[in-house]
Amino acid sequence: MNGQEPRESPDKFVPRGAIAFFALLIFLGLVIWFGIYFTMLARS
Amino acid sequence: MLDKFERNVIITALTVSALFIFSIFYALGAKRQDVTECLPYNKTYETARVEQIDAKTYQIFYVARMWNFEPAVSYIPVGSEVDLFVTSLDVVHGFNVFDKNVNLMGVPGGVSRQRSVLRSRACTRSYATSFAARAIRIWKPKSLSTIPENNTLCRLAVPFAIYSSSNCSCRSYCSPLVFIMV
Repeated sequence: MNGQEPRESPDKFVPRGAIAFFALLIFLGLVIWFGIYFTMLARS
Repeated sequence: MLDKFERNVIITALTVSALFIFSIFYALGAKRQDVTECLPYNKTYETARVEQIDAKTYQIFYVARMWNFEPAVSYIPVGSEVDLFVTSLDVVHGFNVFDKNVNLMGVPGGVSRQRSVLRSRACTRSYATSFAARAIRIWKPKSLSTIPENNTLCRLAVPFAIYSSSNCSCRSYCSPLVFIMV
């Protein structure tokens, strides 16, 4: 702000928050999918 | 040129999607999971009956009508493979066997079929739903502490009654359908 450019270089930016969110999303997806999946298999 | 994070996200998403799809085909193939099938209607399905194909294979033809499913009691040996056929004579009825992947709809003029293997010598609970005027009603009798072995009483006293075999007690859901493991 105040006319100054951001000091951080775009090349070194690592989206840690987005990566963590994505990893959590994948993990929860796997847990929900296979939780129901093995429950259904057990009921067969 | 893709950013390396973007590329990794795409690869991960595709891998997980492939895993999901593979697991479905694995269940259908190796695990022999059966899904509900709709059969061409035939008047013979309106006759409730149990047919024995061989020592461990049975067919049960259920006919649903208001307040009643028939046959109400089926004697099936433990470990039998059972084909369940459901049709209805009036409105659409739901047909579910508790703790099994059996969930059928009895539709007038239609036949639903599903295969199941009854492995355990346990009470099989089931319930019936009736779909009418956009309402879904699950019938739950309030007190079913003891129902004698005579299942006719179940059918007459409580519309969709739970029936228990000798080593089980009556539980929560009402049931027009009983498998007695012999």
